[in-house]
Amino acid sequence: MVPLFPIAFPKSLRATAKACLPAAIAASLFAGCISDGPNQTGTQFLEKHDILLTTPVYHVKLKAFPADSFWTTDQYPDPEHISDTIILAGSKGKFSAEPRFAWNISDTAMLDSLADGYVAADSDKALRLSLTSPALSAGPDTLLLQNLVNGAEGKAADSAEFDAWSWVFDDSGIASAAWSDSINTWNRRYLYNGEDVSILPPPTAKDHIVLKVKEAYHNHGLQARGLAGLRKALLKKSASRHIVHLRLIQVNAPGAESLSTMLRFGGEWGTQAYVANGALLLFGKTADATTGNGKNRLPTLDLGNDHRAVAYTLKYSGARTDLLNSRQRGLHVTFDRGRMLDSIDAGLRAQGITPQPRVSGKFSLAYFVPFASLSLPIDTASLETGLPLPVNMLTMTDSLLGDSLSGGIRDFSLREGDHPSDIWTLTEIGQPDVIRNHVGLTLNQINSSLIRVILTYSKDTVLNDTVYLANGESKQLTFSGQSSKRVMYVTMTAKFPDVRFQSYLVVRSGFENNELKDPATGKSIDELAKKVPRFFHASDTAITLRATGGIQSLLNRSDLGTAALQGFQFLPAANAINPKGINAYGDTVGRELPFPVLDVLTPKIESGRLKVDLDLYLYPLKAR
Amino acid sequence: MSRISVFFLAGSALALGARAETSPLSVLSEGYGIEVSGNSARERAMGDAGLASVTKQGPSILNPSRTAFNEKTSFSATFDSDLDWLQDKDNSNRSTTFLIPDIALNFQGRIPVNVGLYYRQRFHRNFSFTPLVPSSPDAVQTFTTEGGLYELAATLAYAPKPWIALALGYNFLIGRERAIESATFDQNSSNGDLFNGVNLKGDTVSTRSSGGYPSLSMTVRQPKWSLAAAAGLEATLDRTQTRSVTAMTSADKATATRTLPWTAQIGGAYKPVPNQSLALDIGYEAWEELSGTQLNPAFKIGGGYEFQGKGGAYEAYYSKVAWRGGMGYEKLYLGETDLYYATLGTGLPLGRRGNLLDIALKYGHRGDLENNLWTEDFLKVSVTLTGVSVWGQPIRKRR
Repeated sequence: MVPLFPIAFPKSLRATAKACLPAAIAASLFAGCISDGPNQTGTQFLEKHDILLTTPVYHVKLKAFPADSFWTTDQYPDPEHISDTIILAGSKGKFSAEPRFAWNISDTAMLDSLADGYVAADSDKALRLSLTSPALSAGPDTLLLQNLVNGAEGKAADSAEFDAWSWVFDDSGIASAAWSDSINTWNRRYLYNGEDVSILPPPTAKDHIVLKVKEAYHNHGLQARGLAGLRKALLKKSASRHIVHLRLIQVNAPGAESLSTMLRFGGEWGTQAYVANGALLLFGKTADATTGNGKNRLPTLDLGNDHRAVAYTLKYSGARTDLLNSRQRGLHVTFDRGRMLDSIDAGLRAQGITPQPRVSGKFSLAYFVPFASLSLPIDTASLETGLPLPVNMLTMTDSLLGDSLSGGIRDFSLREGDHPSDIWTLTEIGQPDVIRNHVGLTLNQINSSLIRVILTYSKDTVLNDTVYLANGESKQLTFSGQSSKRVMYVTMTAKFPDVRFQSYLVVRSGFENNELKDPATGKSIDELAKKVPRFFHASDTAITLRATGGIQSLLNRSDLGTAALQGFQFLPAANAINPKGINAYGDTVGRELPFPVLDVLTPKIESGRLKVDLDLYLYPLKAR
Repeated sequence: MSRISVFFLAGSALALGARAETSPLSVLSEGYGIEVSGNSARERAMGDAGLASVTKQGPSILNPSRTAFNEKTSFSATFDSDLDWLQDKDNSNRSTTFLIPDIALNFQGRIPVNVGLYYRQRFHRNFSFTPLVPSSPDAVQTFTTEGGLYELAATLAYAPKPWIALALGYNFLIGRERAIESATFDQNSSNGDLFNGVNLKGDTVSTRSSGGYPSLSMTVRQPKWSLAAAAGLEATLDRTQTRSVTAMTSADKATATRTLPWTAQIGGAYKPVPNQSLALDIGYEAWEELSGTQLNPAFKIGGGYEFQGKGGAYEAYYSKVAWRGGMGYEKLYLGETDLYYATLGTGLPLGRRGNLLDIALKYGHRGDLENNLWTEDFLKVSVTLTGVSVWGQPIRKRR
């Protein structure tokens, strides 16, 4: 190799370097022994130059701090509970649930069982709907189940009545290749969309069944009921393939203050080894579905990815501002940033502390917030199982579409016949100039009591959606822009002939960390009673949650409140407890629960105003 | 040691240079940190003096005009190792550091012209604070500052007459500094809320700066004495500061300019006999006293003595060794801080071509508890390796 510079070191230099090497290593080791480790010297010097702060953390409590705005939203994705593990049917308090199922009868031998009996000697030619309620083991599970069935008051009805309406389609006249597309079309209308029966065409068959409620979970919870009307409709074309959509509509439902008739059936739970726990059609055999031959029982349609064609619509007739589980309705709260800073300043001055100066610009690095909590006062609470309800804090920044001047949520009204094609614009991520879709609305009045709202996409028309609204009714539509963290909420309220729309887009969201450590051991707390900041107990009067990230963002981003809002959402957990995972009932934090738990938290709203308590720790950052 | 290894070592030096002498003065944002001596180990051993003490080989960053009298092309690198003992009223702390403060190449041609290329760490910041027993356990604050201001210089030295040499240079300045303030809130188990708090992992101000200034120097040489003067003009640094805070969406940026003051240094050397030298240097840096800052004009004076062994090629090695000593005083440019020091050293010839290994030992004391709230005692070992070459020399002079 050619040297970079022709500097020749003599041999004696090499020798010197070699001789120095052991000494250098020894010196390095010696030097390492001399060092004391972390430097602790200079405290006063650093304090004098304001690098170390003599009072490093301020603590401010803001009592009854008014929210600037608040509203509730149902969580994205789909609140219609497609392919849920458990399907709800019946009513309890202000909750009511309407389940629906789809079966694909592709083997006409099953219809032969209805005509001729399953075996030659079998005289049973009935068609039955088989539903199974999960029966739990003894011990604490039983207590949980009793609470689920009866509620804390022990008010469960003996039985519940349902109309079992069926819409039956066969493949006669439909080309084989088009059959699957037809099934998809029907599924979209009868299964995915939560359209009311008043909107759907008249059913093909009507049956009436009575299901046990109080005793529903005994003896494996199996209930099979005859569907004579559906049987008759199927036998009209016994040589054809059929798709059957069925829904259970409760009749003679008790009032909100009366006995509970809410039932829980296996839905997606009925797959694989537990297929018998799902909703089945039984063809000409009365034996227990778990022992029957596969040829006379039909599980619900396989939608792919091990999902079953089951769904239910859960409605709540209480106040719109209630927090719900498991409909998953959260309460959004926003604050006026300027007012919060004023309150913080006042709180600090009351302690004799001079607040940090306000700064202009996009960011304010006046304070770092190491810990902040938000406390929402609760007026009344109804916890179905009696067990504490986990509540999460979701903090987000909401972009105010089209209304960046006033900083308000976009709010507008349309009426019958209006069809603007460009209400919202979806663009490619990071490319605001590349428009992916123009999203519009079309309004049509169906009759004197119903108006139809169609959400239309200019390119991705498969995303089009339809909502029906009765006069005075309010519904919500959620759709995702580009990712799961960018979700648009559109709340529609019908007041004929107008429909009011309120929309906003969540552009960035995240759950606050609620995994707390034990100060004594440093280990994560997993004892239920001590996880106060995360669980709402029946005796609590407020939900107190960590909101550190949200408050950090609110205080450190000067533009919040003008171009965007910092949102705080109190969101009950989707699944509260898992009776199968309980080790020490009531003492440990549960795992996921396949059971929807119907809890209601009503926030304390006085004269239309919501006030919360804030607990803030502030670390003053220097201007640097 | 191969040549490749030498240049690898030089490259490593640039990387290692970021960490050096510990001092609380590093934290003062109005300054640039602690100034690093531009002298090699020979001058350092003579009380950090020797601006006018002419040698046959080796570069001089502070007085490039001196190199016009060089006989050969040379390369040098200096290595510093410190043992620092910091004290305040409550604590003391010892730490060791390592630095390669300068690397230089001097090309000597057939005529008395010398072209110099220099890398030098002009200032450095190096201080960290991590209290083991914090005064406020709710928020345990830590602080770190690092980096510095680096110079790359090119000089041209010329001796029109055997008794006078002049040099002109241009010095590029590149600054890379960071000040990181952090706080942990989860250390105090008695504070339930903050024990579960979010830590401030780094409120960091990063400063990048660049600029440059011309430098001038002159040396007058006589058989018994010599005089030298060197000066650097005021430099304007363009600075870009970025502030980032962990867990906050912020990357504030600001640009500004700041001046680095002019400097002047004079020195004299006297040889009572051919193998003994006395040297005295005086330096001044025109830092402007600004209200609310710790800046003040800086001054230094240092003097030393050198005894150069006269042993010939066939005489004992110790008779060829040089011995040096000196002392000095500095008023640092930050906080009116006094620095007193004493030095010792030796010069070891390596072979017959003129290669040298100079070693200096410096003990210093700076600061006082009353005014500065800390004191610092340090013991610094500096080693300068100087290699010479015939590159650039006429063929007939090569050996």
